[in-house]
Amino acid sequence: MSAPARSDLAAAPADPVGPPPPGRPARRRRLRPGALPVAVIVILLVLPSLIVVPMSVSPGEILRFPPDGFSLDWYRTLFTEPQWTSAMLNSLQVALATTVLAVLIGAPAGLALGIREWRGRGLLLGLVLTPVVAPPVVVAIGMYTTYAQVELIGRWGLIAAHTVLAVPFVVVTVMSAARQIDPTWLDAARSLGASPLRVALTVLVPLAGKGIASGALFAFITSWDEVVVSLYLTDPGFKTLPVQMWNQLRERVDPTVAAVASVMLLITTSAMVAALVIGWRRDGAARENG
Amino acid sequence: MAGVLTTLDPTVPGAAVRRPGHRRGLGGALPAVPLLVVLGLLFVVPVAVVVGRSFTYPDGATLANYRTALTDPVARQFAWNTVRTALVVSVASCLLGYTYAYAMYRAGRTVRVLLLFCALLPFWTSLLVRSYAWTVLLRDRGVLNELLLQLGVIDAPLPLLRTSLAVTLGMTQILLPFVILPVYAAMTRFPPDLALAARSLGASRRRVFWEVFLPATMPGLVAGAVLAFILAVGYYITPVLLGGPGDQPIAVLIENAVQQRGDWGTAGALSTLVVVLVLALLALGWRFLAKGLLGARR
Amino acid sequence: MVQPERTAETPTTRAVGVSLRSVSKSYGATAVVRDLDLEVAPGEFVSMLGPSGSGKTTTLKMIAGFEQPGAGSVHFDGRDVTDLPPERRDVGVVFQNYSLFPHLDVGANVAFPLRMRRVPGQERAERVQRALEMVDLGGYERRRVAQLSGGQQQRVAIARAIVFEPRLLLMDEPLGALDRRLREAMQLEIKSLHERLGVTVVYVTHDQEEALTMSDRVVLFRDGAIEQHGSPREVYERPSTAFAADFLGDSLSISARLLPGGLLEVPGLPAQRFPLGTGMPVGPVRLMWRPHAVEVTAPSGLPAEFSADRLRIPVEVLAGGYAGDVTRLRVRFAWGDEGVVATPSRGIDHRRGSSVDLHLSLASAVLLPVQS
Repeated sequence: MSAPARSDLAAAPADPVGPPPPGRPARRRRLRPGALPVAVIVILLVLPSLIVVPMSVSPGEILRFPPDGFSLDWYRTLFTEPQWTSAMLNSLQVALATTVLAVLIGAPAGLALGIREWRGRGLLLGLVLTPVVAPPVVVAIGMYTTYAQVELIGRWGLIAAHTVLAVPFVVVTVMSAARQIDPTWLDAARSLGASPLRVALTVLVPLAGKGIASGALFAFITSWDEVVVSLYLTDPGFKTLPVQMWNQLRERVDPTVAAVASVMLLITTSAMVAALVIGWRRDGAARENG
Repeated sequence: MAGVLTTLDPTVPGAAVRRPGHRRGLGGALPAVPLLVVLGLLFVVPVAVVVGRSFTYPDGATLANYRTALTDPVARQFAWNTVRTALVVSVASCLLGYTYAYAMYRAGRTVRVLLLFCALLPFWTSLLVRSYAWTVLLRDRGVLNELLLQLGVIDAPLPLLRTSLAVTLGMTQILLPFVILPVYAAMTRFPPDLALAARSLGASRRRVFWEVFLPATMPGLVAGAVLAFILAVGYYITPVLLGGPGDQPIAVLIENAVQQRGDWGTAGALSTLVVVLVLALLALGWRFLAKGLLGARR
Repeated sequence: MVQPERTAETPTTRAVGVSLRSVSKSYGATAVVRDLDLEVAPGEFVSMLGPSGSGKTTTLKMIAGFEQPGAGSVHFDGRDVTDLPPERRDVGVVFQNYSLFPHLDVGANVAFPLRMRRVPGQERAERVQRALEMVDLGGYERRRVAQLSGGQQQRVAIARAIVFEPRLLLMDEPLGALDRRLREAMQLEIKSLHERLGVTVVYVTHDQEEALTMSDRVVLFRDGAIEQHGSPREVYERPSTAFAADFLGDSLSISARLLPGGLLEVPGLPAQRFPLGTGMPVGPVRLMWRPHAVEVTAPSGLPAEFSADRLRIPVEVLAGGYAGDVTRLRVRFAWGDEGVVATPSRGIDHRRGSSVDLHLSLASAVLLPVQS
């Protein structure tokens, strides 16, 4: 829902329950009794994401342990068969357009919500969040019937629908970034001769830049991954990747889906690792200097 | 008592940093106008149309659809499936999520970053793919059964897929991060001095946890629980792919009414009931959700 | 022909005069500033002093253009600037929390207003360097803001506010976050900067000592209106109300009564002719003295005495506070009034419960109306 602020990582909280009672030797590092449940939760969290990798390279349709061979057939299908390649291109189109629109619409609202306090702020935020919490099927049938009346189906219908579903993430991430902006910085910039537009470009965008970037990433993923609404709004000539995957999964077990997932996993985890490492280095540097 | 509770509230020190309230009034909302227009036309109107049809379809139905929705045994069964699953999944997510967030909070820097990474990983993996992965793991000839067979633990494959267990596992995995993040955020807002104060006043470490730390971080847990429950109520993909006939949620019934029978009246009534439930929960939990989003800065 | 006095650093005087005319501002139902009139002469250093919520910061924001007056107008050198946005007012503002941009280094912060004014790069660098040298931070251009101490950050903020040679400098409690010693040093620096630049300064503070030390004129705010204004000496020594007397520093005051025929009655003493002609109506008044106008001596053991224009009154010491050169005493009169006096730190018994004599001259007393 909200990207964790880097500062959350940097601030090492002290022992919340206080130091151990005196008179006892300091414990050597050993596994705490809580380590086992945490390990189980970690497995629960990551197993479904990781299992797709061996699945995508196993030759048969059924994954076995130990794996009975190695094959890149499913990747070949993914990158050569037109139904998969066109689905990927369609998804890319829709996701990029959604990202641009969601940022253009959501970032100003996020800044307005985060920087100053004004009446009705909570109400607006509540409204903004409803697309996230509303049952997808209800949203889907509603959009299906209303968008059809204005012939907003297929590519543009999907972009419109995905923008609605993605914009809350942009608003929330930009808003939490904007909370770090002191409103007097804006007054200061104005008094130093910057017009409102230049304040936005020279102060707001640089300071909220990280929030806008991660909001854009969330928007992209939301669109890229959206199934339920897309099922209603695609037309036969314009399927997105999740729609294609859903159709395949309902018919039979198709490891091409695992190949898609592995590719995505590779891209997103490397982006995440890069972000973490960069943040880590910067924190370290800041600590040395500060 | 009320005084004690307010001082334990972790957001109190931060909440004192009120933003200067100048430029109040509607001027502040100006940059949000495009957003309001887009949400109004592309989201509120479609949902309102669905709600409207519950009263008008077929002609002059008024409340007939609600009578059907509330008395029909099939609808009741699906409603019960939905609420039961949502409850089980929320409770599981809270227990596991709090444990996990606490481990993150107590861990050293490296472990904390790794744990955070693991908590966020599901966000970046397609929901569809994760549900699919569970089918691979849990089906009769799936990874888990094969493993148990080879180890000789069982003689015949256990029926794991298309059970409530599969749905619970799949949805808990999906909703856990929504609990972990607000709980962890609440924990980082906890002032460590408070624990030291409690120790100095004679509380043992255990009692500090149960009587100071847990209550102080409770708003984060409530926020996560509300979020998990709300999202679970609307879930569609995971129960359809992983659940058996007894696990199908109300979303499936709504979809069937529209897709197979064109019965917009019943679909509208069921949708309205679910939306009202979700909005009511959102309103109830708003105090806690908004605290994380709008609360203390820096 | 008389040349006006100029210093090397200010080849031209660019100071502006400010006037606020019947300015009001409210937030919702709360009136923050009520029908305020204020004139600031070009080059003047004016402090706006008052408790929090008295409207001084709002007034400053209206001069800067951050806030629009609900009624009335703001003029610079007679020109109406009420509707001019802040970026076109050419006003330097120094904020209490420094308000340095965290994403820019020190040099870029100071260069910001020059960039906005499209000053070419070479000249920009020179002016940034000069501004930083002026606040004793020469060579700090490449430092990150977060690496500086609070005092250094405030100097950068000042450099940033003066680098574009504004005609008016507004300061909103600029030293509020600094510790006492640093604050006092910075007060003198700001004062000397004002003298060197010749710029008009409007300075908001809630610290009366700061206002008195620095200003040409002190404007005391109360509940959105001006309670009193004048030179530091005027407002300190001749406060016009009990609020002004209290807010501007320690004082000793006793209740008294004006009787017809210019007579003054002090509790427990016969009425005496009051030497100062006043327009005050007959009735209860308060007589106020600043600590420096009160002489404290060892107790004579005699009862209170009112002769010519001097009062001698024995009082009880409630508490004594040693403050270096002087000792401040909190004292109580027999009839209940309390107040603070200062006496050189020698020879006086200032233990709690001891007694001293106060010598009060009516010539140095200030007559204050009693508030209903």
